[in-house]
Amino acid sequence: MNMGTILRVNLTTGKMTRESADRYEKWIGGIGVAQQILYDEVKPWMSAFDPGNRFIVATGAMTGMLCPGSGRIAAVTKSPMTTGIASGNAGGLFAPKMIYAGFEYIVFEGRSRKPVYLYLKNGEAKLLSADEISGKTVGESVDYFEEKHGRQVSSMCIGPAGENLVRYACVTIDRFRVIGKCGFGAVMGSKNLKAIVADGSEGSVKPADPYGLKRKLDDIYDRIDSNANYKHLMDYGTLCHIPGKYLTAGFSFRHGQDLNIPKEMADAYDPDNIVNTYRVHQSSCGGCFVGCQNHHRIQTGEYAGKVVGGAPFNSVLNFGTKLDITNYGYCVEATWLCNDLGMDMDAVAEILGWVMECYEKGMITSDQIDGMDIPFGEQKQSLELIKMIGYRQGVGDILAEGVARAASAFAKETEYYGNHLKGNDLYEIIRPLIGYGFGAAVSTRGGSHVLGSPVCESSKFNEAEREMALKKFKVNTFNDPLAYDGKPEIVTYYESLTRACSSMGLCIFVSDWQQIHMLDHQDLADLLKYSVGLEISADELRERMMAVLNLEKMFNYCHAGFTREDDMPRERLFKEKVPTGPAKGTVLDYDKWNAMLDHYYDIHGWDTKTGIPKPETLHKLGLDDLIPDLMQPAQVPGHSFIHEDLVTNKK
Amino acid sequence: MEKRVMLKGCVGCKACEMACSLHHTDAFSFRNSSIDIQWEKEGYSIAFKSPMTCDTCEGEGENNYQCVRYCYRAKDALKAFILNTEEGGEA
Repeated sequence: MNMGTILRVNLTTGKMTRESADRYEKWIGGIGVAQQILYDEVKPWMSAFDPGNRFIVATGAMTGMLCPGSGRIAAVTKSPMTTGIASGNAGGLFAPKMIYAGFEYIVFEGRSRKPVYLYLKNGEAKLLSADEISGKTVGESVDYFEEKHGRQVSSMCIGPAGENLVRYACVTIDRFRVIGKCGFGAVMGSKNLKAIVADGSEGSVKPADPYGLKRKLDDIYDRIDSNANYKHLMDYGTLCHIPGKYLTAGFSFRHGQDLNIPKEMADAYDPDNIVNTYRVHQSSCGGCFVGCQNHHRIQTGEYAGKVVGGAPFNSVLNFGTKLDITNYGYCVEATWLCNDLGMDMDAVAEILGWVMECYEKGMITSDQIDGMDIPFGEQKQSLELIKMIGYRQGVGDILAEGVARAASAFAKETEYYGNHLKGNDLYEIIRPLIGYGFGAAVSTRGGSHVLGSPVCESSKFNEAEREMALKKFKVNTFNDPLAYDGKPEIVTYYESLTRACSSMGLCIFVSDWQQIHMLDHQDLADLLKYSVGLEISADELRERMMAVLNLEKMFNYCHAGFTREDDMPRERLFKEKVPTGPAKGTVLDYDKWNAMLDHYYDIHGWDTKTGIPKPETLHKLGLDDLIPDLMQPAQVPGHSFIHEDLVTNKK
Repeated sequence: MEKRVMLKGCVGCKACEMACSLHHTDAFSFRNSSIDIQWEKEGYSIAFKSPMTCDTCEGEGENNYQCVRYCYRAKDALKAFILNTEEGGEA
C-alpha cells in the first residue's frame, strides 16, 4: 500500500524535508508507524523535554475517508509523565484536513528559539511566527488562526499550560477535542511549537475500491441503525453511561474513597436532565456520523454564558463525583478551563481530588496551599487552583508535576493517597471492574482504558451477544466484573483491536469494544482491503498489532525501566474495601492479581518474573532488531521519581 | 453571496461532502463537493458552492443523492435542502 509522506520538521534549524513512509508499511498506519520512528530515533538518555525527543503526528490508513469512526488523529512522543511511551488520539476535523493538505505523518525534532506554528495547505508546509499568540489560551489562538487563515482551518494547539510545561498539559484540537494523558502539550511547549494548523480545502484521498467500500459502509450503517443501545450513544454521547455506572459502582466518589454516589447526585447528573436543560447541539469527527460530542450552555448562575463542547462522562466523574460537587455547570466550567488552558482533565481532577482528600485528613494544610481552603465540594477555590496549575503560580507550580511527584513536596503520608500508574495520574476505577482495571494497569502509557480494557463487564448480554462474545474471547467471564479468570484473554483481544482502529484512524467507539456486534478484526481487515487495497487476514492483523504492543513494551523497558512491578495497582486498592453501595466490600486480592498477571505475561510470550518480552516472542513478531536491547539492563531507570516504597507489592 | 441554511440535526461530520466528492471524482475531498458544511456556534449550516455543481447524483441509479444516503443525523433536513433548491424554491 502507498504509505504517503513523512514531513520532517527540524525546529532548531527551521529546515523541513520529506520522505516516503513506505518502509513502515508493515505497521499499516497511525501509532505503529509513529512508535517505530520514536523507538529508532529517540535515545533512552533523552528526557521528554530534550530537543532530541520527537513529537510525531500520524494519520491512519482510512483518514480522509467516509466511514463511521473516521476522523481520528494520533500523536506519539516520549512522555514527560511516565518517561515511557506516550500515544494518544483525538477527533474533530484535523485528521482529514491534514491528509487533504498532503501529509500523512509529521515528525518534529529539536527546539525552536522563538514560538512558531506549522501551517499546512495544498502540499506546502510553513513555519510561521507564533509571537502574537504566545501565552494565549487555546480559544484565543484558534480565533487568531481562523482570522488569519480562514474559518476552514483545523488546529492542534497548546495553551498556556503546555507553554509552561505543566507535565500533563494536553493538545487541544478544534477548541474542544483533546489528545490528553501523558503530557503531549508539554512536549510541544518544550519545543516552542504552539500549534499545527491544517487547511484541507484543496487535496483528496482516493479509495482503492469505492464500490466495495460503499457496500461495506452500507453494512456498518445498517448495524448501527438496528441497535437501540448504540443509538443511546448517539442520543447522549458518553453521558449515556451515567445511569448504568450509578447502578454498578462505576463512579469515583470523593477521590475513590467510595465508588457509590448519593441518589441526589445521580439524579442531578441524569443524562436526560443534562441534555434537555443544557444541550445546544452535537458535533462529530470528520467522516463519522455518530456525533457523540455534546455542546452545552449553562443559562443561569455563575457558570452561565458560553457554549462549551465536550464535558462528557469523564467531566461528570472528574469534577462531579470525584470532588463531591453536584453542579453540572461546575463540570462544564472546569472542563472548559482545562481545554482552554490545555491540560488533561483526568490528571487535573486526580490532583484536585488528592489535595482535597489530604486536606480533609489534615495532611495538607492551608498554608501549604497558599492559604486556600479546599475541602471536598469546594468550587470557587478549586477553579482558581486549576488556573494556578495552568500558569504554574504558587502551589500550582508543584501540582503541575502530577500527583506522584507533587506528593514528595508534602508530608510523606500523602504519597499513599495519590492514584497513579507508572507515574501517570489515574482516572480509571479498578476494584469492582477487574478486566477494565487490569487493562489500565498493564497499559503501556500508564493507565487509560482505551488500549485494552474491556467495557462490557457490567453489561448483561442477551443470548446472541453472549454467543458473539464467547467466539471472540474464548472465555466466558465477560459480564462478570469481579472475576479474575479470563480477563487476560479479554484484555489481549482489545489490545490488538484498539491498536488496529488507531492504525486506521478509526475511533474505538465503532468497534466491538463499544458494542459487541460492531466492527471486529475481520471488519477492519475488510475495510483495509477496500480503502487502501491491503489484503490482510484478521489473524495477521492481530499479530501485527501485537507487534505494536511489543514495540511499546520494549520502549518502556529501555526508556523507563518498567517491569512487572509497574503493572501493579497502588497499595490502597489492595487495602481499602469499597465502603458502600453495589460494590460494597470489594478490594483487590494480591494472589489473584498476581496469578492473573502471570497468565497475561504467558499468553503474550513475556517473561513471567519481569514482564519483559522474550527473545523468541520478538523474533516471532518480526522484531529481531529489538532483541539486542533485551540483553542490556534497562539503560535509564526513568521512574526514579516514584519513591521506592510507592512501587507497590514487593510480594 | 451563497445562501446558508441551518441544517437541523447536523453534527458537522462532512460525510455528505465526502460522499459528494466521491460521486464526482472517485476520491474523497472537501474541494470537489458541491455542498459546504460550516459550524455556526449553535449548530451547522449548509450551502451549495458557487458555481453550482450538484447534478443530483445522476448515474448513481436508485442510489440518488449520495449526500443524503450517507447522512444519518440530518437526513430529512438535508434531503429537503437538496430538493428545494433543485426545484428552484426557497431553501
